[in-house]
Amino acid sequence: MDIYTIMEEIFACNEGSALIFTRLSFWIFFIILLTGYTLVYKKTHLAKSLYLLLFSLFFYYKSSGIYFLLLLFSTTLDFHLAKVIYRSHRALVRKLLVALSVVVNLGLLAYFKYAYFLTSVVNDFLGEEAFRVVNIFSEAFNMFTGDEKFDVDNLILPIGISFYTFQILSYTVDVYRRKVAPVSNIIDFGFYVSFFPSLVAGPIVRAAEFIPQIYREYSVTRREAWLAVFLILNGLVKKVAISDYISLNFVDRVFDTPSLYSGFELLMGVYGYTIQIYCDFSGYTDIAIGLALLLGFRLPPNFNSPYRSSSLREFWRRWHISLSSWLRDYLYISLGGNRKGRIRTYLNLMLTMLLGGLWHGASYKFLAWGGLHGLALAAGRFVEERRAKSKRRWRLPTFVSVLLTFHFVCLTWIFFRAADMTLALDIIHRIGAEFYLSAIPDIVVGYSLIFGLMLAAYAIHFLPERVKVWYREAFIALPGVVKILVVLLVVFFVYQASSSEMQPFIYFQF
Amino acid sequence: MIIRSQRYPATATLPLRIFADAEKAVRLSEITAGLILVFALLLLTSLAFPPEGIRISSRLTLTFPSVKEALGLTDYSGFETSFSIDCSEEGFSNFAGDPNRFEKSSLPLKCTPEQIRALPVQPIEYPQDRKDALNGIMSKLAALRAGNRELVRILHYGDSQLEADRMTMYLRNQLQREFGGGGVGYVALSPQIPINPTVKISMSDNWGYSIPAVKYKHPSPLRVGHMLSSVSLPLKQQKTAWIKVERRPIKAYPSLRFSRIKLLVANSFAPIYLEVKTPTKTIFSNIIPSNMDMQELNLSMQGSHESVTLHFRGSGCPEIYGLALDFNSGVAVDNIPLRSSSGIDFVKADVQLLAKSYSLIDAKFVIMQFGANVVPQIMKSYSYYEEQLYRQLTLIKQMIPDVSILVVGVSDMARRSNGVLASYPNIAKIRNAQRQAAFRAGCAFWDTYEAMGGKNSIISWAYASPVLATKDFCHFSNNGATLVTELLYRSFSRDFKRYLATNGKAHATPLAENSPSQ
Repeated sequence: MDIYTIMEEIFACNEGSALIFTRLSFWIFFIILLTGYTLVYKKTHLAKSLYLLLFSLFFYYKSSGIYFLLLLFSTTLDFHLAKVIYRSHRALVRKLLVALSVVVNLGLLAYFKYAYFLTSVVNDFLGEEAFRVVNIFSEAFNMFTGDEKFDVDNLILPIGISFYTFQILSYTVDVYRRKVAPVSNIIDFGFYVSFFPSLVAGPIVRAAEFIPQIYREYSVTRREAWLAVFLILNGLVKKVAISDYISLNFVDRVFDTPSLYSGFELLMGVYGYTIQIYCDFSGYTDIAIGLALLLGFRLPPNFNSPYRSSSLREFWRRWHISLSSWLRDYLYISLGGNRKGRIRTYLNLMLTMLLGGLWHGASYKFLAWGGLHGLALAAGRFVEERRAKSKRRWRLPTFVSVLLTFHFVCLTWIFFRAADMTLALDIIHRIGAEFYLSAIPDIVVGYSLIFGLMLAAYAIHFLPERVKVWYREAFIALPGVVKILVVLLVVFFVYQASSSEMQPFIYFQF
Repeated sequence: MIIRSQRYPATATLPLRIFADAEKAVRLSEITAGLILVFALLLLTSLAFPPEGIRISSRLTLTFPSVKEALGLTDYSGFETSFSIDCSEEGFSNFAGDPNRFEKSSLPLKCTPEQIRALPVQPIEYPQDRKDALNGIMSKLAALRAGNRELVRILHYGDSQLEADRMTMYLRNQLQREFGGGGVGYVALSPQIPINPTVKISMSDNWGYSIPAVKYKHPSPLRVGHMLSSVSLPLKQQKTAWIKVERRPIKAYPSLRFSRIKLLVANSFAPIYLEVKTPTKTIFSNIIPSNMDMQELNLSMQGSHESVTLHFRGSGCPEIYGLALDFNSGVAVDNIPLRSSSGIDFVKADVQLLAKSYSLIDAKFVIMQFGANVVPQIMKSYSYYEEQLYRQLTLIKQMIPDVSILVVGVSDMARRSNGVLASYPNIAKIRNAQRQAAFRAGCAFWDTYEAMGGKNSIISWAYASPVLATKDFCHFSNNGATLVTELLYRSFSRDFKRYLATNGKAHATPLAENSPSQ
């Protein structure tokens, strides 16, 4: 392979070139990054920021190509807006500027994420194809270059736009609320926005949490370094050996063609998806937190065994913590929170969750998902209030509350995962009406491997925190050579899970 | 500026002095060196690991990628280690990307139905000496279009790809829209989980069930009709049993309308009393005599019905070979999915009974869509399959002399081999065997594999948006089943137009208005 081909490969940007944590290409990128970082990490904080900013932009470019300009645009705009907002003492100017930031950032997000959805809603309403989605960026580039190189009919969602938009907005609003001072230089701010471990799928890091770390010296203890390794391995196992395996061999099939499955299989599919999405998302975050820690940055935790929650309110304090706290601080509180009476509180909860649902994706099913959470949160609040006023402080046993909360969350995941509302309702109908108790023993035997894996994943999830801490510490306490051996074994195991033959489609004659 | 706690929270609660220098700062160079060491060891493992893997058992072989494979460099023209992180639109289902590696197909990995529709139309192929192999059905359809009031029955046989009325539903809707007709044709009766989305069939639990797969090693021929399955009541003194057919409220059939119920039934030992009821009235009540050979009980119905129930009472042993919900005229398409079948079960049936069934239902067109269950057995030659399929086709032709037969070839299927997803290597061979069998028997052939996009296309179908195939890389999703049938129907319609152009049938008459009241 000549140098030209190698360079072309390194700088190629296509659908397959993304630097994904589970691929060797990412780890080569990370080793190169670390090697260079050893030379700069003790120099000025600016050199450190600039170095990591360039690598982060390269990381983003590899997955999103030209859209990295969009990231630069939002970064530059909000860097300057925040400065002006902070300096200004005129309330109206400050309000207008923060509104400008919200409109531009959410406008871009809405354009890329909701153009197809909104167009179809309007067209459905009008009963004709009155509107179509046009990629205005492609059109502009085509006008600029004078040819038709870019496809104007295709609008691709830039990777991570939902996350970095919220991150940028939190910064500008915090500056507006005078909770944080603006960052003095754009390189530090750019680095904060684009820091690659959390760029693609969070956690959504607040400026107040992250920016001060830029100015500190690199300081990671041995214990933390091994904790990072543990988190990365944990994430890989969750993502590849559990989530991918369950999804590929069972969950995807059940959700793609629910009509072929009995109610019991569908219910198991829902339980499967419930643990799959947790392992997928929290596995990713574990790796992100581990990588950041090796680089000397502490990201906030994003998950805390969410299915152990005994109420939905608690669930949202344990699930995607960085998003739920963002929604609370910047949407729920901005809407008035619980300060404007009981009805407004319920309404605010509902609105926050509906918009939170839409944030996850542009379709009715995400609205349904958010709406169900909003309704249940409002109902839960109502019950709590009644209970507080009541003389008899009745309370459900904890395991009943956990079971109920878990199953409500499972129910909402059906809407989240199903391809559309019709399929979601079909799944619920079949679980209710065509369960087929008599078929259960055959199904359990047929899917023993998958169900066993699901059971193991749930068992680990529900382990008491002290047990989890114990085995994490036990790993960290192992001699270095044994730890490296464990790393190799885990990588080997994860590869076996990812390359194993697929489980065949199983037929049941009942 | 507010500075919050920056430490990973659990650490605060942990016993800190777990090893001597646990809290000692580590240098970044140590971390880098550690990571390089791990990858060096993985590299050594990769070099030392046998390329064919280490076989632990028949179901488990340990593998480890070569350096080239790990880097995705094995063959740049052949492999694609592709995936974008689509973290929002797919409901966060794939945060860290898909670890799968794929062989390339002619389609993009994440293709759309439009891209598949844009592929060249896959023509129906005919044997050299039988270019008119489908003229029989074409002439019947042309006559319907010209106003003829005949019922043209089409039998759609297939494996699990057809289950839940997939594929057939689309075909039926298109044909009935174009040539008139209604109802869902004959529906499979079985005590299995009712997965048919068009009608729900439930039955009392005393029915026995016969299908070729269940009685594979049964020495005597199976007593089945054209559905290749039957249900029967065992010999017992007095008994009651029931079969209930309900419509399911789905989009494709907002109201299930049928003007006739047909029952293929035989009875032995003793007479049995049969009552057929809708929720509002009894439409049939009579005794089915003993020692009755297979007969078609043809009951007239009026209007739309939510459900029909058949009640049996007495000590006879009725055998039910099929139950149809039909119109009086137009097109009827029977969905006949045969789980785990390769389409070679016809010869296992009691040929006389099967022939009787065919003569009663008067089928004009048979579609045979099998092959997926042959694929997992990888062999050098599939001449055995060609021969077996040929025997089935000639048997059907003997039993229904004027029938047209279209063999629909095997669809693409993929498996993961050494961590790389790729089509089974034998798909084209099986397809060729099917084509040969079809041509030898004077039948037409349609190549599903090529129509889908050829080698590795099922991978693109599975990752398409919307999803067109399930992640077993074998079965179509509902959308995929509809799409592949749309491609088939497109080819069929093209040939039908050619037929009309060459045979100059009169088409001035408007479409027949087929309704249940006729």
